[in-house]
Amino acid sequence: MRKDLARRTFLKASGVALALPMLESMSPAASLVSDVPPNRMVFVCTTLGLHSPNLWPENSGEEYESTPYLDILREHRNEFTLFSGLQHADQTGRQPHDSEMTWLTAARKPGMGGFRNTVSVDQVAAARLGDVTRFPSITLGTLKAQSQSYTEGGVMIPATTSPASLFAQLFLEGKQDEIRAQQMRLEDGRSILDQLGDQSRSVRRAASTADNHLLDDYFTSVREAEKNIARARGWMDRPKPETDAAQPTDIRDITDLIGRTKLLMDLVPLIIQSDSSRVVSVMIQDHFAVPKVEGVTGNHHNLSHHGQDDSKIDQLEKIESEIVKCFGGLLGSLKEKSESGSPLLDNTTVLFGSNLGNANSHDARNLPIFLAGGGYRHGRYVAFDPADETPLSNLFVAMLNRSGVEAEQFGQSSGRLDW
Amino acid sequence: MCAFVEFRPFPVAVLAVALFLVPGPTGLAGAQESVQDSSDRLKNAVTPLLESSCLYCHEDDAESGLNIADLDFDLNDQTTFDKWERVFFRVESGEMPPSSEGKPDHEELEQAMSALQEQLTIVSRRLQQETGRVQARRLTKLEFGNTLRDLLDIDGDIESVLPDEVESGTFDTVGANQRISAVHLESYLSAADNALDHAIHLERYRFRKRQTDFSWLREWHDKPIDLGGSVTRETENGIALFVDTDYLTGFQFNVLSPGIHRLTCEVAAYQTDEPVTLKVILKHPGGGATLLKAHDLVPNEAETIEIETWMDSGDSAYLTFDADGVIAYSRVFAVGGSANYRGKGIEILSQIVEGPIYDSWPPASTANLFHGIEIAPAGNRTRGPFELVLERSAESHVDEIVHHLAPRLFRRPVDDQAMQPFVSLASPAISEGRDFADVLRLPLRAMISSPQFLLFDESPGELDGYALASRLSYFLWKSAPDKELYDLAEQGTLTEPEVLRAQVERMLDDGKAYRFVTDFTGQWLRLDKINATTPDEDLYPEFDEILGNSLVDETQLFFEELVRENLSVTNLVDSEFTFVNRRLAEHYGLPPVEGQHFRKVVIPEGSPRGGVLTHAAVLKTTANGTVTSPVTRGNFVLSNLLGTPLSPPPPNVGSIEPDTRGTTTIREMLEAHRNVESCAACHRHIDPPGFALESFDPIGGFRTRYRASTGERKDPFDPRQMYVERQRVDAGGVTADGREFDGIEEYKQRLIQDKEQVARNFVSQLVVYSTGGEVQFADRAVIEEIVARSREAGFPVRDLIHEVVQSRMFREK
Repeated sequence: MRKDLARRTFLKASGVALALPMLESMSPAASLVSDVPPNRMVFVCTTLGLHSPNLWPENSGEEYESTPYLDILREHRNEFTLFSGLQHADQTGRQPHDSEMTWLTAARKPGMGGFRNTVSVDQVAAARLGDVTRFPSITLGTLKAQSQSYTEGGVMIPATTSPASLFAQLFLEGKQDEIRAQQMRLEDGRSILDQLGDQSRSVRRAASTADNHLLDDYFTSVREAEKNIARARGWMDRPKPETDAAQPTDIRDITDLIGRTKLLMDLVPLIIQSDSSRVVSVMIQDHFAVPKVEGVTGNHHNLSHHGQDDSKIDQLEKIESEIVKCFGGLLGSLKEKSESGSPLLDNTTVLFGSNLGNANSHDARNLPIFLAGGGYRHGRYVAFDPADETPLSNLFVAMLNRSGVEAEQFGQSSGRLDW
Repeated sequence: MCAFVEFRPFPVAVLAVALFLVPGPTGLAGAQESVQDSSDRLKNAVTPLLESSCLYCHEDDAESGLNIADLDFDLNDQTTFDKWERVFFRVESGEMPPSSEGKPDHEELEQAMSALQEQLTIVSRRLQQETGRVQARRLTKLEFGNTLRDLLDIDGDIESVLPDEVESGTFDTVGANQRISAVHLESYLSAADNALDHAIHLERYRFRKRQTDFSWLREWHDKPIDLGGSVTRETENGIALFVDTDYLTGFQFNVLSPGIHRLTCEVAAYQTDEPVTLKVILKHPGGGATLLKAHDLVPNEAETIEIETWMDSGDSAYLTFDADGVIAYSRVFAVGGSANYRGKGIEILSQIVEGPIYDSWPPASTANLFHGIEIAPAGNRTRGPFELVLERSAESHVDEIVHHLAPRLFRRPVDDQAMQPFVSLASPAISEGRDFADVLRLPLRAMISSPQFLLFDESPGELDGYALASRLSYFLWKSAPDKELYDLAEQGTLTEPEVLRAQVERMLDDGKAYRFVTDFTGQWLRLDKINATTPDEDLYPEFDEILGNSLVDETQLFFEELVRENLSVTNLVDSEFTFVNRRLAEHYGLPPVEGQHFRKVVIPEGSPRGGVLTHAAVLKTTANGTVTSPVTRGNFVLSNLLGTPLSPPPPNVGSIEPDTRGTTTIREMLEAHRNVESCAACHRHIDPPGFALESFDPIGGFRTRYRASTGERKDPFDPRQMYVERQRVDAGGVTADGREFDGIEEYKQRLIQDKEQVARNFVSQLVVYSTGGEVQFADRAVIEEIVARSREAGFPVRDLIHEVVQSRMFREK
């Protein structure tokens, strides 16, 4: 058995060696040659909330007194704004964690009778910013295909969970025969979709009006899928950007939540710097595993239901501190890397927070929200009165506008957030 | 789930009048009133009630949210219809007018309600006849996979690349909530590819068989325990394992070719006079694992266990046992390693893996797919590789295969013209000289991604035989019709009631009906959410893998028994039997049984078990792993069992913050807001069933006291904390209509008095699930007839399934 193992490891290792070209320098994609760096948006959600006593300072404004979680982000104090009192209304869902589906969409009553999700803010941004990049948007997840990105029709866009394969898609040129096979697949897909488009037109004519919602869906989807394929086919002929980063190795251990999160966070600056995409969403979650964090013995979800038990809160704090550190790490590398003389962070708006304000009671109000980068004036704690029920959507509108996406309204917005 | 159309019991008096007045469907077509006449008549009938009992509050929007004074009477307008329907439901349930306003005049009430019911029924029914009850509907993710597995004669996963069905508060079969996106289409295309990969095998048969050689373990037997060794020992004929671990006892095998593999092992209980539970586990490359089998080994008796399972590339299997978690390690550690250890373990005498296993090679799926083409060895070896011997032009073979497959994939006859576009797709690939197997993928992937395959083809009015065959087949088998159903559709006899009845019998007796049982109960009773939480291991250390894997089985077997034996729906509320294995019997405190297989047992007098509400699966999915909430469980009883869901709380009411320190009970916290008038209106309905179920903890164990964590460790070797039992559970209460109960037993007796409502809800759930359309106003009378007809027999489940299938709701679009 050990012999087998060794051979497998070798094959795997050599596979990587073969597939990985010797890349030395990082060179920005062609579109970046202009002097004005493009706007980017990154959305990061930790789905079990952040224990608020550790997060929110007593006093708001610039002079806020730090808290345990903010201590972790000390060196970035001037690069982010912390909000409290923001929320989406009507988030009592069918399942207590259904607000995960609506964090970026603001749709009401998730999972309740007749619920249909709406487009997520990152996809609104992708529709505007995504035309010029290899990927209109990239959705990432630490655990499974679940994401918080939803299409115009309210369908979830599956998340990528393998940093290694995403890295390959971003930077590695495949072997000739692989490329050829992939091209063939795309061509086949295109001719199939073309034919299906014609078919559905005639089927639609024959169907009764009440039936048309699915056929309409089908018809538009065929067109959209065709466009996606054409775009993918087009990009195949263009060389991939170079990077001096090495291909990451996926972490198989599902209890290594922090390791998995870090790998995804490490990819974000690479995606941005190579201009592979301008919109990224990341979902950090692992309800079931006992995260491999020193001193933690309970699973993350159960710890979030701490029931005021101090020893559980203590462990929860350890996990959440590590997650906040990952966010800090992302800010650090976005600051460090620069383009056209300015740090990536200046042109990248990062939203970090949760769909739960208090996971102990599944309360989806008063959400923990960080806004970083993007050229805003930061360094403040902005506390809205929870009683005012200020829509998080208002912040989304502000973010969209700042990134050059014209939108007067999004989700539940009542205007553009000013602070 | 399932916040369907609010559907409450008819007050008997109203019902009697109503059924008398409402014209049957035949009466509708002949005597249609003008729109003006019927709105006038409705207006005249309801005005006295509105003026005496409604308008005082509902005269403008400001106070009540509903302005009745401005409400139109033309029910053909959808918005107007919806509003009046709500008015009807509110009044019918007694919610309106509120008791504080005094009882309305009986005659006024009756006159208004029967007129409203009549008009709502007429309009709803007319709409059904014009466009059908249900909207267009597509195959669900599960149905997509099953259909291809059945039609192509393959195993393994096909559909996991498809997006999950979205939570929409009802069954995933409901067309109105389904979507098709570009994400779907791209995934259909690649799922089709997956299916064809499974179906087409022309390569050499790569069967392998490996016996595990344990000699490499020798150096591990004595290795220091902190280096991962010393938890095994060499025995006379094999090795013994003392802890539950995965890296020592693996089947030595790399899956070269995904497929069904056979795992065979000879094992025995070791150093014990108690049974030991063997676990066979399949690990997946992503990090997940599946418990393939849990089996009790009896002392002093070696057994050979054989399991067949699908294995994908990267999957690996290993043997282990239920070994008291981390404690086993510390025990072995305490005696200085495995050599001195006298505790229980398993002895592995041999373990063999072989596969992939096929009845023939190339597999039947390949021969079926290449219909009309000879498949011959490419060389002189019988194991292949094989090649396709085309006797005619590639075009004509493609044509023949498409003609052969299209009616099966599309579930009805397909004319040449409709097939042509699929056939033509192959032409460019043929001229490019691509492999025939490759060429064929184009038309097949297109067919599998086409609207004809994905959508149900139903036209308003009576369904034709083919559409009926499909609806029936996706209801009870979650897959396409088989040959017999298709033939009956072709002969035009399936629509005959007796033929239909015989088919339902045949299908329910078939093994594929288990798919209906798992999917229907999975969604209806939320069993598909069984793993949504993991119980807190400090508070519920007795929850282990074996137990976790047993929970859903009980409920599925129980429901299957109701169907098979045609037992009363009242069994859902309370039953004299259930299904358990050794672990579950232990968990429930039932008389011990031997072995981890399930069997039917009689529930002894005095046990609180019986009925799905006492099934640990239901109790677990309605808790969060740490604490229970009477609100969640109460809602489950109202929505899922009784079908009388209440509106969700006002948007900005928070939920109760759990506190497990043992100072207050959830009940005390709830009392506080039950005293607020606006909360009490709903909570007097929600809380009582929830209170009754407080006798069950988050893993479905019976409790008389709540557990609280102490914050102290059990012992240095066990990372888990101790818990203590604190406050007493009070499971008593008063039902909304004033009936007292002192706990779960009495509550079930109260609930069983509502058996008609349980039956009504069960029928409604079946209707929604099987037809893919919500219950509409005009369906109420039909459902009422079904309930009335089966009352005398005590609402037997199998009969109710027949009733639904025979009803116009099922037989019309």
